[in-house]
Amino acid sequence: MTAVPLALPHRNALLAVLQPLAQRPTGPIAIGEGGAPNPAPASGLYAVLYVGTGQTSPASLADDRTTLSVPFQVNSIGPTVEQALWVADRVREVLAPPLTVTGRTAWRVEEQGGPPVQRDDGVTPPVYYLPVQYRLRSIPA
Amino acid sequence: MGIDLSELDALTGRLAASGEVVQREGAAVVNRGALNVKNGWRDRARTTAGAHARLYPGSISYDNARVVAPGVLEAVIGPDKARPQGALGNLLEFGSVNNGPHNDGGLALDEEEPRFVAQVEALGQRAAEL
Repeated sequence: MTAVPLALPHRNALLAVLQPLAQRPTGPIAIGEGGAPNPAPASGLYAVLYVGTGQTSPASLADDRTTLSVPFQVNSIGPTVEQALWVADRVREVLAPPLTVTGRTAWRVEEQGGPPVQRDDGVTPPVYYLPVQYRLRSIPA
Repeated sequence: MGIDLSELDALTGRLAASGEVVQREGAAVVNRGALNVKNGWRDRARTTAGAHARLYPGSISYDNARVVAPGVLEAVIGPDKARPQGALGNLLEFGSVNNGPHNDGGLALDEEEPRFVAQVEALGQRAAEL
């Protein structure tokens, strides 16, 4: 029986392209997962990855559920609207090329959009955030 | 030499008739899909919204399918801000700086997608057989 597709390799593939953003020589972007990075960066520029387990689906009438579709969301945060959008643009750049998912052949990440930039007054000082939803699909390699 | 266009005329007639069928039955397919997404979204939200947003699931509704461009049908599904706690939709669905997203609508949409695609394919098959 073909191995059951797993979400963790997809999450690892996403982190592999997002985490280098924190090493940018100019304008580093801290990366958090499931919540803001701790400690929060002094620049206030960071992105947060939220990954789901996804859905398996059959690849054929044989009901071999080897196709996996993983929904995920990246929230881009910055002290100003422009900076939040700038972070979102850097995230978009690294998610644009095909990802390498261990044991899988992956489609290019699909952007599904999200609401416009909003100010979160629930934190002090208020910051701007931009959530964008995506989907990453793959089949066995 | 003459050209017999009777079969082409017949094909033209069938294509025209199939277009009417697709537009008529397509609205039913889109409406059914929207209803399923609404129900799936509400079901998930009842679990995730918690005690502080008990009324939020009831705010989720949908608009009937309408033609938004030639050959394009659309239904909009989501929280109605005019209903109690409908204004919480953005926050609950997408999260905020310190709150993770619930993605109840997104998951409901993903769940419905294969059923919707199957119905659209069936409709196309019926139209092609006219």
